[in-house]
Amino acid sequence: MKEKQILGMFPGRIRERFRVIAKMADELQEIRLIAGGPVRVICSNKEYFLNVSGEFSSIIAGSCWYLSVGEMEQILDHVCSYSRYAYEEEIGQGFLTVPGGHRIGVAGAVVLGEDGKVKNMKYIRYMNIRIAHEVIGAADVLMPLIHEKGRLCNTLLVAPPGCGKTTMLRDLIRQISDGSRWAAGKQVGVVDERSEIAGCFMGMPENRMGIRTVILDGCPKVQGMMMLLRSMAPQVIAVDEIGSSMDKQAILSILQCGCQVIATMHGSAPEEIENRGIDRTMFERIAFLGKKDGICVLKNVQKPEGDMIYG
Amino acid sequence: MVKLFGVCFLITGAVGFSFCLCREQKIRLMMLKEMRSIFFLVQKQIHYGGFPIDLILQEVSGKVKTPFSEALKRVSEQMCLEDGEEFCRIWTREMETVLFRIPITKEQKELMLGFPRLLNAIDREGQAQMLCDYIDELDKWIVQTEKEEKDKNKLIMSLGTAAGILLSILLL
Repeated sequence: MKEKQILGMFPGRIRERFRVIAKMADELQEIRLIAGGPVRVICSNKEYFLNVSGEFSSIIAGSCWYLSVGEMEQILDHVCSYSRYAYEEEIGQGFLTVPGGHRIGVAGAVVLGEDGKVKNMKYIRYMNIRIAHEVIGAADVLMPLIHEKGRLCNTLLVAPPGCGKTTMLRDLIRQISDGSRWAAGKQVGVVDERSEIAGCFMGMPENRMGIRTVILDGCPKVQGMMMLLRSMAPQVIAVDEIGSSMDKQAILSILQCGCQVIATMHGSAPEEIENRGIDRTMFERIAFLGKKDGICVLKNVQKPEGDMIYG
Repeated sequence: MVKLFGVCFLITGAVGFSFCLCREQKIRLMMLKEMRSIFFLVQKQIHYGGFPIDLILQEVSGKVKTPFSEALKRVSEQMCLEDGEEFCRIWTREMETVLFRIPITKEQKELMLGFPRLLNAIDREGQAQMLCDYIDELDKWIVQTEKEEKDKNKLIMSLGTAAGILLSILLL
């Protein structure tokens, strides 16, 4: 399935060159494309260069495939269904989400709007295809720790980039929504500002998000949280990567309405939470994630006052 | 009696032939109007909906007449097949089979076949505007063909009838 999704990102002739690497879909993390540069793939944390026959090696060889501007344009046209205008907002934000929830980051010449904000992008010459890996059961270890007598605690997941925050959050949402041995299923509202959690493609989540989950895709967090609260009456709201005083205010409003919050933020130490303008006392559980021997692990779970309940 | 019957047959034949020629003009005009309505609908869908072209073509296929309706549906279906074939190739292949059968000029056929090259704007407004220019071009042709149709039809019918009468006199 994932192999088909990866190959589906490329037009016919170019697709053939990705056949070998697509077979390693489970280990494949990124495909990095630069117009005029060698095609690189990141597989199991190692970088490889693709050659013109689709084979890959860890060194730049003579047969290395240097992506032309034309090929870059073909790939972009294909992922945009030959309708770049339809992806104006997404390209303006710097990424596109494709079936399977995979994200294609793009960079090129930025087009500014009259208000000085980034409106669109032209001459796209850089692409970073991040392969989404849904890990069912990733939150199994965390689930009992964030429940207290059948009640879900407001939880903050803290981790540096690439340590599985979003993967953990996604599985938490699924389990909370579907219900688990720790608590019955709840109405979950997800504000997926960058389409990373649910990986929505044309409004439909590409990842399993649970039967009671409602997703607000591509919506700014602060607005999205309030919109969900007013319109969908969720019992739990989940957001990714909070880190501003405005986020704090929105979360406080949600908590005052009796809704639970599950959020993630960048960081690796408890003091970083306050430094980013987030009040740790808003949460009842703070889970720190990290990497051990290259594998994402749950390092510890604390109460806001610092009492360790795991790790 | 036989001669009279022959004269009638000859004149009717000549008028019928002229009618066929006029009908071709009519079909040309109808096809141009159909092409215009395709681009008009696509332009509206882009402008107000901003949907990708495969979805737009599927929608438009239900609103235009045959043979374009079937061709647009096939294009949309093939785009959804996910076999990686480029839109330009699919469009050219499907449209060529349709355009081969309809009496429009080479220039008009090229305009239709060149549609995929037009889809390169980075924003909705720009894309819709580019299609407006396309529609304007078709409008010019429609006006021109309508004018030609009226003039030519009169001429063809008159010449056809006259030729029929002349032939009858000569043969008598």
